[in-house]
Amino acid sequence: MPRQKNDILQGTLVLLILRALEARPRLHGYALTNHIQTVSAELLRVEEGSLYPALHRMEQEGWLKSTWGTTEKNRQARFYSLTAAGRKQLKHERDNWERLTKGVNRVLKEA
Amino acid sequence: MAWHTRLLNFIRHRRLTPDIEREVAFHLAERTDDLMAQGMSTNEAMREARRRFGNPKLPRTRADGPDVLTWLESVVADIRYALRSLRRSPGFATVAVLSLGLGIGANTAVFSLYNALVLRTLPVSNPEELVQITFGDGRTSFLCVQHQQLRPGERWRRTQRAGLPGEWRLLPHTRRSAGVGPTHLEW
Repeated sequence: MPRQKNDILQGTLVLLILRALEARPRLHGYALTNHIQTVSAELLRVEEGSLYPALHRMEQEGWLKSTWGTTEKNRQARFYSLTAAGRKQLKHERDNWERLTKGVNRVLKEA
Repeated sequence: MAWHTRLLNFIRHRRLTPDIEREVAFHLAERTDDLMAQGMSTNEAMREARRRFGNPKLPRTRADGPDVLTWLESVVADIRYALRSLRRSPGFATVAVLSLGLGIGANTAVFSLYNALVLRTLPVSNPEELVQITFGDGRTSFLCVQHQQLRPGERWRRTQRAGLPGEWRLLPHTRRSAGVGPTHLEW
């Protein structure tokens, strides 16, 4: 039986985070996890342990900025939002992804 | 990652680390809440939240990654790896050590010689007072201290007894530029 892997492919995590923050500005890490899972109809599951390192790396790259804030449940959480550089990166990564999937699909459907 | 970012991270280290810990704590708390809302007991929910998160140390370790300490640690690991590889192939290690040793040794020897002969002054108190006396064809010579007020003629009379024609010259501070030019002795 082939191994099922619905953990997010290395490298696509950044794309998904950027896209999620474009659709929903100001999310904290936990909300991001849930958002990606829900929107993908449970097909994708963010590996929680690798989410935060990715967020920090992206912040260092200047794609995200973060602020501490209070949630509805009155907890302290770190909220992330996109920067201008982040939007540019999203466009770049999205183009890459579309090119990649188009290419792979063509190879798979080759007669 | 650029070195200055590493350095900055190292400096910010204390501020950065609790931030991540707080974030992870928040994440676990939220997850626990959700699981309890699905009917788990508090303990069960906490355990499950941790399990889903994976190794809670991991994100911290990874976020700590780009700083100087980690860089140093990886340098140490590289050195250890190099030593292990050398031990595994003793032939290569021997050849490498020998060629390095010979190379360094030969260079040191040649330089020491050159340094003593050419670069440094003679190891005596007043090298400028030394006189080199050369005989005949110039193959035979010896050094002696120039006595005060030495007159060429007077000096010569002593060596003359050996029956050798000769010349003498002053040795300056280094041997390289030896000789202010030979002064031929007359008698």
